[in-house]
Amino acid sequence: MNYEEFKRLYEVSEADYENVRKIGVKLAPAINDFVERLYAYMREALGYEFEIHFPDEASLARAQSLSRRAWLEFLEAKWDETYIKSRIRIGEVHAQLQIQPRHYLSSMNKALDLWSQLAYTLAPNQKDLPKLIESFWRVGQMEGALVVDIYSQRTGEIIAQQSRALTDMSTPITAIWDGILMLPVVGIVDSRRAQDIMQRMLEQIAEKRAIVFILDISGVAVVDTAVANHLIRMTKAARLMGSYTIVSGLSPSVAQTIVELGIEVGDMKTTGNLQDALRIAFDRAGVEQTIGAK
Amino acid sequence: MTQRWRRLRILSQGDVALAILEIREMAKRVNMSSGATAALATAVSELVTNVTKYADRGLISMRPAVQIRRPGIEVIVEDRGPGIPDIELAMKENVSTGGTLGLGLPGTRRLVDEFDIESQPGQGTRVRIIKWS
Repeated sequence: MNYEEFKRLYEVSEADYENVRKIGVKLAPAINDFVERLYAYMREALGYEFEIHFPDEASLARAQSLSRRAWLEFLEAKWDETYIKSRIRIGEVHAQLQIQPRHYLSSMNKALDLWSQLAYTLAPNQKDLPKLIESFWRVGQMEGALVVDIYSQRTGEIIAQQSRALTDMSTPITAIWDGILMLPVVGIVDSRRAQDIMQRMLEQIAEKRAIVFILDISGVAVVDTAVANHLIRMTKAARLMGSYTIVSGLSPSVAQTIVELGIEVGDMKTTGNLQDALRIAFDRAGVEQTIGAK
Repeated sequence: MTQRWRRLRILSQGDVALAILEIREMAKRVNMSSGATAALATAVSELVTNVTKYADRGLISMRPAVQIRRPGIEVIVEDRGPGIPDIELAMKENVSTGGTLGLGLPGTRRLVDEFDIESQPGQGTRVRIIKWS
């Protein structure tokens, strides 16, 4: 993350920091009063959400102490390593608690409002007070953007984790017989997923000493050149490991599409349905077929 | 009556899946046959994948096309990526700069009924296709 970019976007200059420091010295003694009023506002405005985020006294006290520290840092207005780290931490905490950005940002707005009021009460004779408060808001709003940015990054990471977990679950390679593995592929196959499938397929072939691997693609939405390319590569890699791959479940329209695309499937073994694939697999694996054998 | 365009952003590989789902939905709505739907969805997959592969980001627009008693769908896929320096070459079989099969563009042309491509190096690429059921 480029922190300088935030400064540029919010047109925050060194003079703004200087101004925040000037008024910050006057405001710091009121920190406890400030935190109390901020949390009173949040309790009122967030209602039930507030209860969810702070279910007991301990969690509330923890949050308040974090707020206290964060705001004291803010009043010192040092754009240093510690400051940035602590803002990242705030963003992470908000992501973990799944606090809605609108709740965070409105509370931020209220906080800046409270500080402005306190400034007029505590330092009525301060020179250039409106200007100092203007800087205060500028830096405060930039900080809001910074925290929300980190928040959305973390949320993105959580989604990526979940989708990885889903991918794991969507490659259920099953040993259906001695030496025969099967994987039904369902949905849309993109490069990352194809890579994933290939890796798990080869691992399982090695582990289970598979003679035949059946890849059933009847549930795949689209077989385009990229997917076909992946299928060919999987077949080749499996063959190098001494395993024979059968791609089953090619529907008439998929077969036609592959031909139209001009894909050379080479010696990749394909079948229209799973039954044919099983028959070939049993033959290869030397399984005697007594049921349904012709 | 002209139909409204449905437009989707193409930002990441995940958008390929969304575009495919969307086009299948539209195909269903206009009663396209399953064979034509498979061909169209594959064509869309090719074109959108190309955007994520070469241009990083772009747009896909789709709308039901109008022809008497024949349902169809018109699709435009465009990007402002590096463009294709030699379209004639790119439309040949087995020519790829992306380390893949090199069948995408010529294959896509065979899958659909109308196919126009415009590309300027440094300006981007725009492909328009129509599939009739």
